[in-house]
Amino acid sequence: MIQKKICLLGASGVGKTSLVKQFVEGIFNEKYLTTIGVKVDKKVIELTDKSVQLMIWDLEGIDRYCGFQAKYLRGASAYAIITDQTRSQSLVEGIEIHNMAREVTDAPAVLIVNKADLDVAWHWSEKEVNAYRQDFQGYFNTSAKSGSEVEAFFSCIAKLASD
Amino acid sequence: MSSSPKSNGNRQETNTSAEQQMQALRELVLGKDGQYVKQHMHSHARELVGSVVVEALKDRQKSDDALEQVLVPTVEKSVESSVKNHSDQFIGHLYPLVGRLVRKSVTAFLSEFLEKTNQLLEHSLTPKGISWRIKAWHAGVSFSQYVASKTFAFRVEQVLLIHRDAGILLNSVANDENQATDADLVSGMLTAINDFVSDSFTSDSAENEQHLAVVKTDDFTLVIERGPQLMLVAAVTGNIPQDISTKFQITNEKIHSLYNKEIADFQGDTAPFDETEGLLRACLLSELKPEHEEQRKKPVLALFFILLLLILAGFYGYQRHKQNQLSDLVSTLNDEPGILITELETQGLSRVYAEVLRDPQAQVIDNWLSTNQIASENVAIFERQYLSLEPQIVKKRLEGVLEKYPQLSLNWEKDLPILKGTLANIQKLELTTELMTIPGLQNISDIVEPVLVEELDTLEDDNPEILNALFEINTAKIERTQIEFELGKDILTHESKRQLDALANYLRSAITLSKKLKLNVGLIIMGASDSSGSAQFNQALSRKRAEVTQQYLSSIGIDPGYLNAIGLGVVEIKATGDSARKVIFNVVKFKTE
Repeated sequence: MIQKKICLLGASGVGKTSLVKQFVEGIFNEKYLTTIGVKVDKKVIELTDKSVQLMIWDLEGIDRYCGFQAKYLRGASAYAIITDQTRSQSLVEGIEIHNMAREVTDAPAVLIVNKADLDVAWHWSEKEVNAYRQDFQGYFNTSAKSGSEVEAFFSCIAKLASD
Repeated sequence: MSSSPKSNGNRQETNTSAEQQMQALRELVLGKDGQYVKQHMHSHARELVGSVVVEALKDRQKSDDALEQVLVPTVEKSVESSVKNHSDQFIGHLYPLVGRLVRKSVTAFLSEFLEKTNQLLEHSLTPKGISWRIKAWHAGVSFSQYVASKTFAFRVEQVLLIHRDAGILLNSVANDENQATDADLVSGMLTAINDFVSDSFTSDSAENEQHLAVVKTDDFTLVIERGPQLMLVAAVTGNIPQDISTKFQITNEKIHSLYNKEIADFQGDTAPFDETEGLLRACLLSELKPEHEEQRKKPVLALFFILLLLILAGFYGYQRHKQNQLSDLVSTLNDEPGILITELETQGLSRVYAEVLRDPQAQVIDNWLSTNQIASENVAIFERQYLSLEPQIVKKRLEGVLEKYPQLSLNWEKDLPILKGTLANIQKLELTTELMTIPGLQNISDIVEPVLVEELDTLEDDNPEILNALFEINTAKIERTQIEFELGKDILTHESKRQLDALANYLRSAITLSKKLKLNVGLIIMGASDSSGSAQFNQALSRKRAEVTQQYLSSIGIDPGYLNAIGLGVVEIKATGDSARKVIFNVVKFKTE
C-alpha cells in the first residue's frame, strides 16, 4: 500500500477541520488540535492505476501571532493552503503561511478557497486570486457544507503527492 | 639555522622530483593505479576467495547475524525453485520423514491442546479465575488482557516500525491481531506528539533536540527507539526489563543496515518493508511470572478433566453395552409361542421398552422375565391380547378342552392329535362342538372319529333338556352338511352319498327325538347353481339337484313326508364372488299342540 502524508494549513476558522470531517476515517478527538496543534486522519483514494492511503495532518489554525510548526511539514508529499472566501484576511494569511512552508519544503501545494456555499464577501477580484493561484499546483473552490469539490480536491492532492 | 629561500626552493624541487620518480617506479612495478596487481589478483580471484570463503563466512556469522538475514531469502528462493522443478526427488527424500513429522505434529498438537484446556479450566472454574473475570469486568478490559497482565511479568503487545519524518507506518506486528488498533493513525499521531514534545522542550540549538523515549500509562509503556530514519515503537504491558530497550535498538539498527536502500528510496510504498516482520516478531518478547511458569509444567486440572471425561465415556459405553445386551435378550421373547413383539426400543441409559401381542394361552411375560433372570425394573412391557394360530398354542387349547374329558387319552403323532377312549354320544357331540370353537384346529371330525360311543340308557329317559340338546346337536349336524355338484351336473358322487347316509342317520335321530319332544319337523332341501348358463337353466338345475338329493334320501328309507325340495336358482356369495353349486339343508320345527 502506498501511503502519503499531506498537510492542511490555513488561518483559524477557514474550515480545515470541517473539510475533512465527513470525508475521512479518524479515531482521534478534535481536542488534539488545540492541545498539540495537529490531528491525524486517513483516507484511501482510488487513483486510475493505484490506490493511495493519505495520512492527512490537519494542522491547527495559524495566525500571525503564533509560530508556524515547521516540523509537522516534514515528510509531507503535498500540502494545501485553505482560505475562506468570506474573509479577505484569510488569503493574506494563507499566502504568508505558504511562503513560510516554502522555506522548509518544496512539496507541491494546492490552494483551496473554502465556503463556496456562502456568497463571496472578500474584496479580492478574480484576477487577483488568479495571480495567487500561479504559485500553486492546484486550485479548488470547495464547500465543506455541501461537499462540493471536496472529493476532487483530495483526489488531486493524492495525485500530486504520488507523482 | 636558517636556509636561504633559494635552497628551500631547490629542496622542494628535489622532493617533488623524488616523489615523481617514486610514482614512476610504482607505476612501473605495480602498473597504473595498481593495474598489474589487480590483474594478477583477478586471474587468481577464484583460488584466493575459495581458500578463505568458509572461514570468512564463519567469522562474520560470529560477529553478528547479518549473514543470516542475507542468506535466508536466497536459500528460501533456491528451495522454492528446487521444489518446483524437482518435486519427485523431494518427495523421495521427504517420504520417510513424513510419518515422524506427523507423529511429532500430533504430539505437539495434543500437548498444546492439553495446555490450552488447562488454562481455560484454570481461568474459568477456579475461584481465582472467577475473581479475575470480575476484576477484568470492573476495570473495563477484556478478560484475556487481564489474564495477560496477571500472568506475564511483561509482554510486548505490539511493535510498530515508523518512518520518522513522515510518521508513516511501514510495518507492525501484534500478539493479538484483534487488539491491534489503527496502527497507521497511531503512528502519525505519535510522530506528531513527538514533534510537539521536541518543539516544546528543546532549547534553540538543534543539536539538543529532545525526543520521547518512553511513554508510560497505567496499562502499558511505549518504548520508542529512534534511528536515523526509522522509529521502532513497542507497546509493553507489565514491568519492562532494563535490557529490552537495547534489544529494540539492535533490531532498529539491523533494519537500518539491511534496508538501507529501501529507506533511501522510500516514496510512500510500504511493501518492501513487509519482510521486516520476522525481525519485528522477534521483538514480541514476554516473560511469565515465576508462579505461572511452575504451573505451566503440570496441567493437573486438564489431566483431571480429561480423566473425568474418559470415565464418563467409559461408563456411558458400558451402560450402552449392557442395555444392548438386555435389548437382545428381550427380543428373544419373540421366539416364545403366542407372543409377538411389535415394537422394541431403548429408553435412557438402562431401560428397554417393548410392545407385544400375547395369546392368553402363551407364557405369562413376568414369569418369562424371571425365568430368564431379567430385572423387571429395567424392562417395561406393554401387552395386548390376540389369538395365535401357532401349533403349540392350538395344542394347549386342545389340551385345555380335553381336561374336562378324563376318559380320553391324547397322543400326538407329529402335529396330529390322536384321541382314544369312550364317550357317551351326547358327550362326544359336546366335545365336537367345543373343538369347533378352537381357532386353528383343522379336521375336527377326523380327530373325534376314533372316540368310541357308548349307548346311554339315559337316552330312553324322557328328560326334556337332554332330549332337546340331542335334537339340537342332530339339527346342527344336518345343517352343517353341504352336497357339492360338478359344473352343470345334478349327479350325486360317491362322497355325496356317504354324506347323505350320515345325514339320514342324524335325521332319523332327530325325527325320533322330535316325536318325544312333541315337535313336528321337516327338512328343507335347497338346491343352488352357479351363474354360468341362462337363468332359466340354472333355476331348473338347482331344483333338479334338490330333487336328486330328495330321491336319494327317500331311497335309503326316509319318509318322503319329511322332505321338501326347492330350487334357489343362482346363489352367489357377494363378498367373495364365488357361486354355489351345492345343496344345503335346513331343519324346520314347530310344536304339534
